[in-house]
Amino acid sequence: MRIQKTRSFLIDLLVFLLGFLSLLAPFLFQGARYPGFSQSAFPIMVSLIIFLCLTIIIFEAQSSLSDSKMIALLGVLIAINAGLRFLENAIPGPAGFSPIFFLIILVGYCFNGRVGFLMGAMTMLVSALITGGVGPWLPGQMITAGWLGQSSAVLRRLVTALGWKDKPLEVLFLAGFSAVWGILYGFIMNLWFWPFLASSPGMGWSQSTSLAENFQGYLAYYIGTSVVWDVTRAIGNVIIFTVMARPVIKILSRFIQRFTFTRQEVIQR
Amino acid sequence: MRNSKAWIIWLVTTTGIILSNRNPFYLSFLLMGLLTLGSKLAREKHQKSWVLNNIRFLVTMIFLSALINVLFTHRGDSLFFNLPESWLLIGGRITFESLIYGVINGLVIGSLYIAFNIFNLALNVKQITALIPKIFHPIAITISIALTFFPSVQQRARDIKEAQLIRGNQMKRIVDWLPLLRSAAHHKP
Repeated sequence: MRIQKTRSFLIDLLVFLLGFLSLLAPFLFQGARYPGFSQSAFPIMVSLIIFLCLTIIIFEAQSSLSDSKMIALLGVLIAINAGLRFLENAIPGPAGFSPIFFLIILVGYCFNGRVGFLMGAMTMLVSALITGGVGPWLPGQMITAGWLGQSSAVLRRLVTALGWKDKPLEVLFLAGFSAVWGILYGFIMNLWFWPFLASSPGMGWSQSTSLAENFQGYLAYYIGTSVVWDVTRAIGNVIIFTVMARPVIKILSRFIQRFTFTRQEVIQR
Repeated sequence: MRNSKAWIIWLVTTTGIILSNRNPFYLSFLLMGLLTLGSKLAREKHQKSWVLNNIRFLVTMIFLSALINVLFTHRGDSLFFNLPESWLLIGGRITFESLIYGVINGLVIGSLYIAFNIFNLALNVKQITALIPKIFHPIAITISIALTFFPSVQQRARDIKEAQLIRGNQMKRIVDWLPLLRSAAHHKP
């Protein structure tokens, strides 16, 4: 059991590093950029590597769905979250606001990292299928949302260790985490397209410049194009967590009670 | 019923051609071909505004990409005018070359978007879901459940909205949608 857990952790870590390094390639590997074809091919190459990472991690993570009750529960939660994406227009939130991050974080928080990952990745896939939004951006969206759900599981341990469970600090902590991810999501997603869209020495990716200069260029691009959108998403996340986190944690706890029962044999004497 | 594997090959080939090409004329011809194919498929699905919506997106992408590039990229010899260097990020030379670079980027992004839109038009959800390999059967079942349950979620959202509106609640606040999650927790198929 312990060996299996270590193996799963190592696979998750390896896939995370592979996916993250492919996104960070412009910063780390000078040879990653050549004029002309390679620059154009960069987004599709990253998408393919991310797709490969997704395939591995989903194959690994689906082992946590060996229970039919868990499959049904996750299917229903994904449907609800995909439905929440449609409510984006109905709820008068700020520009980048999206209610889907809320449930992804809480599922990762209440269940475990693997279920959180699947919740994030599958929500993006199902909502893309429903809205006809399948595109080259989808693998990036899936893996980033997956990381969001996976990282939420760490919060559970922190909250328990700090003794904040069922206290107002728990909601505040979750709201802060959602705000950070509101910005981080856009920050990571932009990496996929940045070398393609920006080409100036000040904002773009240059083979001849150092890691720090390239990072400065990316920051300039991010501030110039996306920061307002992402900050409004972060604010939206904080609002939704402050208002709805407590009752939804109770609902999810009820889900866990209803769906994680185990049958016990009673020996009659 | 269309062959989904053939459409995957079409998508991969088209994406490859789009991304390996920076010639605005070839890209424009490709776009015309994509729009013709898309309009034919959209007619079959009675989506009258498909072409118009895609052209609108394409024009927006070209405009935004050109604007971002012309303001932030200060390369090129054909100078339009200079912005003061003290202006954060946008200060510097505004050139014709950076404008053209932005327009071509917009064409590439728009073409990619339209190619994927055609793929979404050509295949239905069931066909795309059927592409999931058998080895991922728990995931395929989860997705099938989610897709099956989704209309029910939509119906419940409508019911909740109607019930709240009858009571005079305009459903303007986030907390007004909490019953949607509650109802899902108590859902009886």
